[in-house]
Amino acid sequence: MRLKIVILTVILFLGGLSGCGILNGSNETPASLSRTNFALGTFVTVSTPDTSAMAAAAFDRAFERLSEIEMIASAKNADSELFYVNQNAFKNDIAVSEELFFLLETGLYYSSLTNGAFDITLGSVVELWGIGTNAEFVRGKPDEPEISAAIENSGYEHLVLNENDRSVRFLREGLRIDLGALAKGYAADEMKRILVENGVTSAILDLGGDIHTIGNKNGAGWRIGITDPRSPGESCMVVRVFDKAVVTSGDYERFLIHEGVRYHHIFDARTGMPADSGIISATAIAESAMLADTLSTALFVMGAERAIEFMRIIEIAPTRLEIDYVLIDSDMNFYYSEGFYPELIE
Amino acid sequence: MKLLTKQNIVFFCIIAFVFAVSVVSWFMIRNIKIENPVAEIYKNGELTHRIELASDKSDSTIIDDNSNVIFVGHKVGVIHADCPDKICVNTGFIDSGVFPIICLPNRLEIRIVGVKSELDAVAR
Repeated sequence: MRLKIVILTVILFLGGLSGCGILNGSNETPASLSRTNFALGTFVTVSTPDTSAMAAAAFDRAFERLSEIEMIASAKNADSELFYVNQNAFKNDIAVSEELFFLLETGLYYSSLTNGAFDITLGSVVELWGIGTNAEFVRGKPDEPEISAAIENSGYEHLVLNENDRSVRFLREGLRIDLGALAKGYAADEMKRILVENGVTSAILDLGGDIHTIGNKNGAGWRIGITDPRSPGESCMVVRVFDKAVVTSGDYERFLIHEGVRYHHIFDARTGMPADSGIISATAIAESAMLADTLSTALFVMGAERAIEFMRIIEIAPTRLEIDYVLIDSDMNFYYSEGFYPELIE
Repeated sequence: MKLLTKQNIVFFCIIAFVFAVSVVSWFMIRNIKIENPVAEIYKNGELTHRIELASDKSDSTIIDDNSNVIFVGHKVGVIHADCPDKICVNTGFIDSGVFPIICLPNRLEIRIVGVKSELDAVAR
């Protein structure tokens, strides 16, 4: 009897441990599939807990799609369609692809809707400042006449789109389109669409800090941190999202320091200078990453009072867009959309 | 044959006890994080280095790619860069978490993998 007890005990214990994965080491960090590439001027990483061949094939297609979008919408890539438009559209009707026309139309719509707080025609200003580019293009703060000239060459009212022949025309010679505050979001939406169509049910996409999510993580929402704008290596709050995008525009991500003054990369079309609205971080959460991308920039430039009023109007508009937002001002005051309760980190 | 003998009751109690212990052990061990932090260094989107962070503080590796000088020891950080903003250098040293070190002008990214994080990603 004693022998029987001992044998059974050992079998049960080992069986229990083995079945629970303790003896085979399966308690390590769960395997996941992750891929990183550089596109649209930033690092793009996609991760999923799905390690199947199907997921790997879906990743291939999603990254191919990212490359396609880069070749259409990058203002810096000399081989892109947008680059060609920027060089040739002054007083010329340039016929463009359906996809670029859609992006320009969308950009123009939000430029107008936000009264220029978001403006896709700020390419000359962005180019002049050269923030976030290689050292040789950064000359410190540009001179006032240079900034004035760049503003002259900006303004969405100088961009003409013709639906009939899908063409683009610039009314100012130096006008340059920059889709930087829209294309990453669009790419995130497109990559997500491709992944979902190819069977991926749970994934997280990180396009230079623009986050998009697919499904959920083990039945719970994805936990997305919002960067603390005054301590950028830490989060100041956490939001839990399902199938949504979280996009933040902050003054800490790309900047240059000139004579002890820090100049960030989000510009105000009225001044040609980095926006000085009092907001140092604006986060938008929406189903569409493109919408979140666009709005986070616009809200940043608007400043708290104007941004809150703008969002109130947007929310009662017939389209009734479901968007949450968090604004942080330079005194670290937080402004939230109604009914939105992120988890604050002390 | 009598089933409820004293011997059998003791026997089943022991089995139940051992089973309970193994289940409790499973839950306890499951929560122990076996972490193996690894620094992944990407240049132009390509993974160029994958280096385990040292458990011994005296172990270190220096990677110089002509634009950025990267120190990999028990933490990883950029100690010199030719970029104008020096955001990569000012990020400091990392050994965990979801905050990467990024040098956009030089298209460099350093991430830590193999470490459990409270967050799935960070909006920046």
